Amino acid sequence: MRSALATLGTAFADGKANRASFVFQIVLMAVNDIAWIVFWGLFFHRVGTANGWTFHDVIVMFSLLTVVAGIGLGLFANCRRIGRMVADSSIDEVLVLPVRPLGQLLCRRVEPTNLGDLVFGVILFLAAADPTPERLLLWTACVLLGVCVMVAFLVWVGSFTFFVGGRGEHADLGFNALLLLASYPLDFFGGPVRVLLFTIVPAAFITGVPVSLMRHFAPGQFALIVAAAAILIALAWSTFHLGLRRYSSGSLWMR
Amino acid sequence: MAYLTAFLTGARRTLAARGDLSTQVGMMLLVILALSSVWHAAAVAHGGHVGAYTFGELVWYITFAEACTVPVPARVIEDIGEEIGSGEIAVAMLRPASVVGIRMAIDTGAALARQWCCLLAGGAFAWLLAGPPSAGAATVQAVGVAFLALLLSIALQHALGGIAFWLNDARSTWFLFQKLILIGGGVLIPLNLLPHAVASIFIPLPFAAIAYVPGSFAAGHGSWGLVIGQLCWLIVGFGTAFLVFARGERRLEVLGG
Repeated sequence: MRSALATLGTAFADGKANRASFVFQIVLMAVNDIAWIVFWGLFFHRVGTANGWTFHDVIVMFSLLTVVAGIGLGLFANCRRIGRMVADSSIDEVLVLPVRPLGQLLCRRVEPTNLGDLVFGVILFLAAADPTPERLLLWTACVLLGVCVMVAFLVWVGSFTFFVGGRGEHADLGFNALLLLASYPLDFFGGPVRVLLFTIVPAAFITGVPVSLMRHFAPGQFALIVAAAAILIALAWSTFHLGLRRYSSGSLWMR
Repeated sequence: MAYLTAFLTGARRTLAARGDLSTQVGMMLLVILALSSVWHAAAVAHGGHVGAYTFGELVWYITFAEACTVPVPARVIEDIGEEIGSGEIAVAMLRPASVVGIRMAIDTGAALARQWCCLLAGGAFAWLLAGPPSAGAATVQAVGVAFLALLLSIALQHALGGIAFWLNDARSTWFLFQKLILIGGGVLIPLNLLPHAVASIFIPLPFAAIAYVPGSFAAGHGSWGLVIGQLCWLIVGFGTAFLVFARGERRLEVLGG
């Protein structure tokens, strides 16, 4: 744990080294998030409410998604690059260290762009999502569980590269699908797509179910997110370590 | 001849990279699925219509708007900026052909190959979701308008990327361009569904000619006035791109070898 935290600190300092670029990238991502809020503002201005969702619900949804993405993709940036790292053997650098490889891999790189999401999401929640102490506590719990779901899912799909080869294209598709589907209200989807969001692409546990919880707390729903996070973490951990047993380096870093 | 070869090279390279192509098409289908779910919810809440659009028209609108933006990733601006900033462009200037002409020919070949794949896959998906195109025979016009939109996007991106001749770094411009297309171009929401004052600002801009115009034709709401506007922007876009590169190449100084 201590080594992971030290690595994270070093990665953060590395990202911050070029201060102007660091701040600029944070601002760019905030502008991106604002563009989405503008879209939803225009949409709900036109339609009022749709499938029980209002503009306020979308604000809560985006505050959750941006903070989850900010922490998951910003602080544990390598979670979406596992497939590529396996393909080009760059995980070798971690395998020779006397630490647990998965934790070390996840903490090695900080992505400043996504830290803009983190800042934006916190401000959005505090400014526009009725932050009472109870709501803040629930929102924080949902964010932490959402981070577990997102990071574990990305490690899981990235670890498929150990078995199926390729350059991690399937992981990229999984990443894009998760982020895209999590940025739309869950109740807009029906039938097989809804089933997909609770299973293969677990976007519902990052935004849809948490928004529902923020409206009316239901212990059963909360337990569902906890269970989903636990199952995904177990899947990610076991798939990654089973994959490591099969892994044979391309020795790219030795060339 | 050089431009035709460049065009064909771009198309062949794109079709050969099947992994990238299928990821792009797959992503486009996901976006169509997500946006059509959004508009389905809105249409159901309003008796089957959103403004002047039925659900089916909105699905075809989204499909064509996406098929005009996905094939030309806004990162092209970043690539151009990096080529200029690093001095790599000096090598291209040694060739006996226009740098921007060859670049645009390659990008057009690549983008057109992607656009056809997007239109075929997206069209089949839209048909599944919402039935045949509501524009009927006018869908053929929409395909033509979509090609003009593609050309305009390429021309504008080269004009914007050329800013790097003066600023040495145009990387951030792509991001601004992408956001302007998403909202101001009408990718996410048809511009005539916006409040009137906002729509009247966005519709005459070139971003609308890239997504809103082909989308409108596919939804059966197109007009020749929109195409005339698109053609005017096309002339301005190409003219500006060639002018920016001509001026920029004259002032380029590359150190080292």
